[in-house]
Amino acid sequence: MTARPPIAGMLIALTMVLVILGPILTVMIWAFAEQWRYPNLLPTDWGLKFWYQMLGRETVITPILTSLAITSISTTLVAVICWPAAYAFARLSFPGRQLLLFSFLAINAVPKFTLFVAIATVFLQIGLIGTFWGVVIVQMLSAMLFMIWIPTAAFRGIPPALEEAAFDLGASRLRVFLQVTMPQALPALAASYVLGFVTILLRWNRPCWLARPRSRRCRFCCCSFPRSLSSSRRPSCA
Amino acid sequence: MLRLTDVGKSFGGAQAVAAASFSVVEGELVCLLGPSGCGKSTLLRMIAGLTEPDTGVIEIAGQDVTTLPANRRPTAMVFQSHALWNHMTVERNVSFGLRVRGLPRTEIADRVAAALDLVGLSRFGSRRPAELSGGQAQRVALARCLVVQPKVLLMDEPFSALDAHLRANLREELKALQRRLTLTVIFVTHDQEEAMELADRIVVMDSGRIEQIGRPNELYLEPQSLTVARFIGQTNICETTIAGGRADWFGARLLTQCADGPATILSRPEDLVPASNGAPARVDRVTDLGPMLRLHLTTDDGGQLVWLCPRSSAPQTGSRVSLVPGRLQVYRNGERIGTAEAARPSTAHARTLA
Amino acid sequence: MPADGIAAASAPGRNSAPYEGLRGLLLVAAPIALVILLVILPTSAMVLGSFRVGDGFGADRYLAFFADAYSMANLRYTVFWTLASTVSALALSFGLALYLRFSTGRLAAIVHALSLFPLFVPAIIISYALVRFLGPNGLFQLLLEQVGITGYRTPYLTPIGPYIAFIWESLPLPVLVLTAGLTQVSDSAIEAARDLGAGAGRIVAEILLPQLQRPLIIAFALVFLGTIGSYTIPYLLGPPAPEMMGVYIARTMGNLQRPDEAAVQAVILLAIASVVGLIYIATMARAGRQ
Repeated sequence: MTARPPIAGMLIALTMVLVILGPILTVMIWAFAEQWRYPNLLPTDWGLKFWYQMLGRETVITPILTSLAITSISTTLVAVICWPAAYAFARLSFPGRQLLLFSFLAINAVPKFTLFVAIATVFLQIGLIGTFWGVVIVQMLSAMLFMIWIPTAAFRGIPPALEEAAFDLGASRLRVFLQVTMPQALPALAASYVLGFVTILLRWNRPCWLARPRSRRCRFCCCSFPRSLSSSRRPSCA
Repeated sequence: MLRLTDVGKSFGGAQAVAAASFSVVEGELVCLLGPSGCGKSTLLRMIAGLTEPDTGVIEIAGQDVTTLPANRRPTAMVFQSHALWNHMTVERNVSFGLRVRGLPRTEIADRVAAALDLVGLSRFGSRRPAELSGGQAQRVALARCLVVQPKVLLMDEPFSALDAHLRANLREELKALQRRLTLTVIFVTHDQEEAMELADRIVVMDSGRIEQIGRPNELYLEPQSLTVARFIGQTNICETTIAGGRADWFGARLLTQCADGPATILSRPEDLVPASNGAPARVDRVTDLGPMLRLHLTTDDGGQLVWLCPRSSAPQTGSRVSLVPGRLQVYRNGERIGTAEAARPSTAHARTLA
Repeated sequence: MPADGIAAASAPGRNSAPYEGLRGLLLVAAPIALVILLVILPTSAMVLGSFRVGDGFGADRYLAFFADAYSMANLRYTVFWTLASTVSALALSFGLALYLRFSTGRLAAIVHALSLFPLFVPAIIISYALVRFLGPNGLFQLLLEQVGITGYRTPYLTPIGPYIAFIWESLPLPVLVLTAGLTQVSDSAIEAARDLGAGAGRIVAEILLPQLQRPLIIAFALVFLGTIGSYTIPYLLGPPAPEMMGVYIARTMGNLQRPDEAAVQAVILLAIASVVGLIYIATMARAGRQ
């Protein structure tokens, strides 16, 4: 819109590349380096030695698979309970609707660590701590805000006339929902699923002690890295 | 074909529609006309079954449908926003109602083709709604309703989002189609010109109430209330007092059968005629409308008048004229109580002498 | 649609929406139950439990926390660096959002994609990556030395380390929120201001910022709440002492096995966060009503 000289854009883009991709690129290079002696700009020896080493260890592969499985289950469960709820928030009127919708913000308003301590206490009492379902339930929490708010906005964004037109032409409520509402909301629903999946998989840093000991996830082998990081090769779970 | 008896609806205490009653015969096009928020759309949605009425009975073709949901009523509705489903092709949109009814594939294809042909869009079947112009989209929406052969076709301001020229074209097409197929149509609009042009009968609504039901010319010539008169066509309004069968109209004398008391007297701009005993006024402004001129005048006692006059006899801006009104309607407390006529010159003269 | 659910629910058998209120409540029951059981109840129980002393109630553990110089240092450290990184992240993302609002084309698309990229990188990865990039003898230092700049001092294991990582990690959300907010400001509003002679600075200050108040508050709250309880980044990149509260709580809970003290620390963190959290909820509620 403005006649901003492309120089500014180029500078911004370049800075972003350096700042955002720089660190990640370093890790990528390290992953293929067998030896990198100071002060060489690039590794002195390239190779896949550490990849073989890592992929050869069961303690690495299993957590990655477990990680993906748990994340898929959690995200799908959240979708199953949250999407119909989002539809209700958008289209139906019932007592306390606004209040209930805002109650989901509580998940974000409590610091994760406070929440973990609180949940861990409860889980300890009911014997869920460290179990598969314990982890799934805790993870579901993290994706719920996305899975409620984005679909609610999406369902609200569908003009009621689209549904009414179908209803008026003789379609049942279920048919209207499946053939008109869902296709209209699909892009947003898919986006919320992906965001929820990513949130659960990558962003929700639950402490090791909450998930110990049976379902160690990929993250937890990272947790135990020595702080000096002297010899570590990062398992590529990104 | 359609009969409403005392149909009413309120939203959280606010009365949207108050005890509306009227009936529509087969093949009739009835317009619900009124300003926005007058309850006309709510009434239409109650006929469709999309909103449930609090009171009253709705019958379609002799059957009480009051408690039937929209999907089980023999109505079909065209929405203002056309409400086409953009994830389906035009063909899929039009065939939706037939697929819901589980008709055989070949019959669906035939009827969809026929419906698209009716609205002149035979070759657009495989298009997406996003690729259509506003007028085409509204035609598809119409075809989508026609294809299910509804007993009553409902239209909720279907043309109001389109530009004036296109609107006029679509209006004519709709009227022709309605005559040809003898459709029963309820058409909601806030545009009085549209209603006058389309409707066999008009239901004028204001603040949830039906003000008057009648043919377009009835509404124009004898509006039963001030509200209707103000809403349909332009009017000259004169607040005056009737005493002994006489009243003053901007300095001219009127005779009336109406009882004594305060009154509002209305006249249409085209009904004013020059006369020696008329209300003296000065021409402030002249607007050329083409076939006619519209003159804005100020009477000597400060009143405002609008006069539609033929091009041939039009006075200049600034010139003085003397006008008497033709057809006059007299109102008291907003209701029509009778007519009046201008006193003949002799009468006025006699009174002056007396 | 009926304006109010109670009316709809009280008229069963009518056509438009039978038992609408009941259906609505049933549909939202499961997620609401999860929130109540896993967030609201445990948090309340924890807050309550942290005041339990023997058989009665008292603030003894809190007094102990506030009397402990090390705990207080951790608290101050946490609040200061959370605020610092939040404000910095907001400033940066506001600049980016401004650029994105007024630019089109491939370059803007690249910048947009890059600014969202951190969303897909877990904290553990970026922590490790920053060590390799900014740490001693890291790639950044190597690059500087290639162009002859020596004497680089790494931010690794200083407060600046986690500060940089926090900004890096929390960039996407405010960019998303602020870009969305800026698209709400119509082109014509900006053009009208420019037409009346307003310069870029004045347009930002008088047209964009006032309309961006709510997105700014929401973005601030999101970043602040995401950062204040974080664990991985300060644990891997920060100095050994003082600690961020997240690390402190985890250590108290895990290594020292003192859940009672951990609860007190967590409640104090919650108290600080809830101020921001309430502002956030209030802002969202106001936005939702309009």
